[in-house]
Amino acid sequence: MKFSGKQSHSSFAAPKKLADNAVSGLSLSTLKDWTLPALSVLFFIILWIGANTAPLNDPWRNGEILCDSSTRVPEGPQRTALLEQGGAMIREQVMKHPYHARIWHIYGFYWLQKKNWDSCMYSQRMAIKLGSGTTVNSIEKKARDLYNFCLNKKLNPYFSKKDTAMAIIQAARIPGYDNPMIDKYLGIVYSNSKEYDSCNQVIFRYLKVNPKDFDALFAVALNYYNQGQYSMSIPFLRRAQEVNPNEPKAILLSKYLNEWQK
Amino acid sequence: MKLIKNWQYHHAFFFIGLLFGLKLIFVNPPWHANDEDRHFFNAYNLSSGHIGPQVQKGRVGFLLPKNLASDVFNFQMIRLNDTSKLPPSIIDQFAEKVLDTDSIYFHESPNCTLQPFPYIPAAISMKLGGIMYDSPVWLGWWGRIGTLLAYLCVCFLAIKCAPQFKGLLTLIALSPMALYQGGSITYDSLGLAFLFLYFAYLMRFYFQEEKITLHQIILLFVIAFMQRLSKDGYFLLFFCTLFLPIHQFEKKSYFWIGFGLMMIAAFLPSFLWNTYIQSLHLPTEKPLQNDFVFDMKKNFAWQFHNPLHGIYLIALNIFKQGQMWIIGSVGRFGFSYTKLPVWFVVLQYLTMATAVFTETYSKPLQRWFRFGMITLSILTSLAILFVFFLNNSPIGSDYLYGLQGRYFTPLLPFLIGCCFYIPQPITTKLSANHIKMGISLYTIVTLWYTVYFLQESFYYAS
Repeated sequence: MKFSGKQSHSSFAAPKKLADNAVSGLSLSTLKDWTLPALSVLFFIILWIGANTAPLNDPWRNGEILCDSSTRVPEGPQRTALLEQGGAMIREQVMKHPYHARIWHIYGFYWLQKKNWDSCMYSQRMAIKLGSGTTVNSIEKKARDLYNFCLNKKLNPYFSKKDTAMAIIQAARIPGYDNPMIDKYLGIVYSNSKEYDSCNQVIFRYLKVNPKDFDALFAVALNYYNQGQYSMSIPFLRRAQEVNPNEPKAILLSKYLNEWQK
Repeated sequence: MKLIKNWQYHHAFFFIGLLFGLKLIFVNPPWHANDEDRHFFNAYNLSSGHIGPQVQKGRVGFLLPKNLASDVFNFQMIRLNDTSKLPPSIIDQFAEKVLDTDSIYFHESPNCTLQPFPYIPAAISMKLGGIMYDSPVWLGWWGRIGTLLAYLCVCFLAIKCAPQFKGLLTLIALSPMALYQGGSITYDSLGLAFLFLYFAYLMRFYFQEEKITLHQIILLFVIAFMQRLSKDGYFLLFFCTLFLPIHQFEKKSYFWIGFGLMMIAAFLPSFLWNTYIQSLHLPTEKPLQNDFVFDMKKNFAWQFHNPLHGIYLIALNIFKQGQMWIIGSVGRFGFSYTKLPVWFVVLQYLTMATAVFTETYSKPLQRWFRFGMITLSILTSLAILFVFFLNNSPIGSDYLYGLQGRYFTPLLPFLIGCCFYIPQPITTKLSANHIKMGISLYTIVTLWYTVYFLQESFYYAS
């Protein structure tokens, strides 16, 4: 294969025709030659500057920003207005795109600000259902955390009222989805109703998944203490204090157990 | 002096590329390049002797040593920035671990049905290098070294063969983003390199005094075929051959044979591979992302129910994200999306334009040919934009998701070469050797800065 051009710069002498066409100073042909480079630079500059001027955001993102902004202003009409405006935008998107897990998740934040735990849980349940089993940008964990936060808030007044609490927990189960926190809340309810065996059963199952959960470790320690099994209580209390050494109720239980040891 | 006189662009490219490519391999935290974790699993699977994915209990993916997978996951999802950096000692600790092949884990991979061709250099290097050091981190480094060598070899050929734009090709192939990709386990590395080689041969065909022979057309077909085996998305550029003057071909029929072969190169590799994958009757792959629903048909119906609205949104995205894409085509690195400074990016573009302005041509680059290259490059860019807008963005989204500037790096020789072409060089005072030395020095300084910049961005001072 023969080829004449081995060098890009020096070894090529400019052909005569080209050399003849060379112009000194500004001429029409020079202007023509420079048109495309000039247009390219112009396009480059427009793209560069455009970034700061083009208004663009997803509608659900706009709603999320408004809801988030509402948390940064003091309680009052402005806060309510921002929240409702954001909520309306997200609600519209949920109606338009009920198949997007992330929009359901974002919708939950609106209900969270409204302290409407049931609606927040419903939106997170939808997010979990639609967004499970992914590789990147998982929404599932965030949605589950928010779901459990709301469940905790909803259960809080009823932890000592077994029937009501059990009904709430039963309704909070998502079919086909394993939520270990349900076991933890069940454990607390059993513990409060002094059903220690049932409590330990569910709490131990929970501890397999979350071995460093202070509440669960403390619940087991307290169960054993209440049953008079002090030696069984101590290791769980120690584990709980390793997680959270400054928790007053753990310090108090520790004092009782120390007295027993003496 | 003789050495300097005989010093060519391709020599400079290879030595500078090897030196700084190796440096980048070790400065870049393990599996930190974009999607490198998933590509690494593909390469490891290939190095274990499997061409395609494996199936276990109705799942599709790869069988991997447990500690290999866990080490890879340990380095994922870390956004390295001013407040979050890696202590250098942690990499050394991981590098000392021994690969435990007895304890196996099945990894469901959303990338497991990709074509294996671009992973061949990494797989060979991992297999050979693993004899010396076989810790998971070292396997990652071996894979990167293999990919880098393949990238350097193909680009070396491209720069050596190119009759024009050698300086431009050197600048682009040694630009921080291209070399960073070149030294990562990814299909982008060979995808980039073969497109540069395609560009070089296209230029060669245009500028050669002899007629284009059938042998040459077949050679171009092989290059296009390998590019398509490496990465899809750029096949429109293969049809730049349609803009070569028909009288340049030895026979008129060769022009059409060339067109036919480019059609084959554009579609046959994926057709064959997809047929093979379908014949395996694999279970459904684990989704890569499902916080949103991605569906090209539904999204098209949504966005283009009013075509003007769809076009308006794409135009808006070009303006909104254009700056980021320009920066990304030069240097926006890894999962942290660490950006090179703006002045660096502007300087890089100015230098590329200057390299074209100082080019002396043996014959003018015809308008028709330039028009063809620019049009196909723009069409490729638009196709990438449309695919990302319709397929990789959630249904109903105004914002274009996931498109990064590095996808435009392969188009730079075509775009910069043709857009900044002027028939006469802007200066005759500088000799070719001066320009050559200037470009070589420039790449050394910029790559040195890049390595320093990444070191500072990713690691605490040791």
